[in-house]
Amino acid sequence: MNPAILELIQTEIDGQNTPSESSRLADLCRQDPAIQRELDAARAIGRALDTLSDARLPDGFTARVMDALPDEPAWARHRAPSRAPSRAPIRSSVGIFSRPWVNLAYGVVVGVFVTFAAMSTLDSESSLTGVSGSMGAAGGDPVISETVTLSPDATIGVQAVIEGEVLTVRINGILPDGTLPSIVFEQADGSIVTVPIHLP
Amino acid sequence: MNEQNDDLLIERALQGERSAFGQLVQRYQTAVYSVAFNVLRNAADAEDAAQSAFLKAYENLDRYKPEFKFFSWLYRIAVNESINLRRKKKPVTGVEYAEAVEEHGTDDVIAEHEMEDRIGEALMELNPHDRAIIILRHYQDFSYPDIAYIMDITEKKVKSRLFTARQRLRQIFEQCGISIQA
Repeated sequence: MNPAILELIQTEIDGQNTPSESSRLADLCRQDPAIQRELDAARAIGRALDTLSDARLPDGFTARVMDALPDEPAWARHRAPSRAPSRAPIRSSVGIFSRPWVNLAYGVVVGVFVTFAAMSTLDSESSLTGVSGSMGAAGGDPVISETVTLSPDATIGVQAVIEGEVLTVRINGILPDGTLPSIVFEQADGSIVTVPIHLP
Repeated sequence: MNEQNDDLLIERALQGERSAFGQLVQRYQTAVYSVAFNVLRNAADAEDAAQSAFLKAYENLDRYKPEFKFFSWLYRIAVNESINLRRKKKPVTGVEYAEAVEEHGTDDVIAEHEMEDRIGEALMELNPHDRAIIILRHYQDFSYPDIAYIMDITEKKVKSRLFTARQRLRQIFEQCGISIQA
């Protein structure tokens, strides 16, 4: 049988035909009894398969699922305390942020951090607070203003305002408890990404 | 209505309200379990697959895109989990399955309906992907675009696989003497 007719039969039993396609199939069935038989057989198979019904859920299924849920899924660990992410967080690898300016900001922040980390290494008692400034990027598109604080626990905060969007960056240095340094990016939409820093 | 409620529950779950996800589990657990059961035809495996599907949904809840229906997304996970579990297990033919049910008599779920049993046996002769497509189409009445999304294939492929699967079932029904009234 013509494959196009077989497809028409299948889409008919699946209720996916337009009225004109159904009408065309009805005409074909009137003209050729073999097509009518094929349609009847396909409908019978469809009806038989429609007898599939719900399976009986095992007792206590809901409780077992809820017990198995992790206390803190990955998305909760990266979530801002007051806001839920509206979409998947950006990936935490250099060069794959979806927007170029984020990559640029990332590079700037890492540079700033490494500089101050080096200063901190040279003089562990140093404390630099309230350094601020601005820098223009090549091409003149993003303008980054920054506020840098280096306290004894080596935390730097940078806030970039680019094309009206705020990118808040927190840099956690090596904390007294030995926690490794990392950069936390928070975009205006609430998405957060934490990038570990490996100092040379 | 459900879609709106689903989105609201997802938002609440993402804010840390586990009970909101619990409501989603309650809402879809029968459907998810049934799909898993119809793919696997084994109650214990179906429970494992369904539970795993809900866990993966929870762990990836922030990746759910509201432009798709939540239950389609959930089914996509459940079908994948079922097919993956099926792959790990030794293949079971319809005949072996029927013998096992007869011997152990533990599967009261399908024993209630003889016709459904026989169709279930016939379905086991299909490969897991084709079986899943048949189940999504006939059990849940999903449209071609929905099935395409859930199975991650094109609509054209959905049509061709449905056609092939139905033709194969027709042969199996004839071979097994299952009478399907036209």
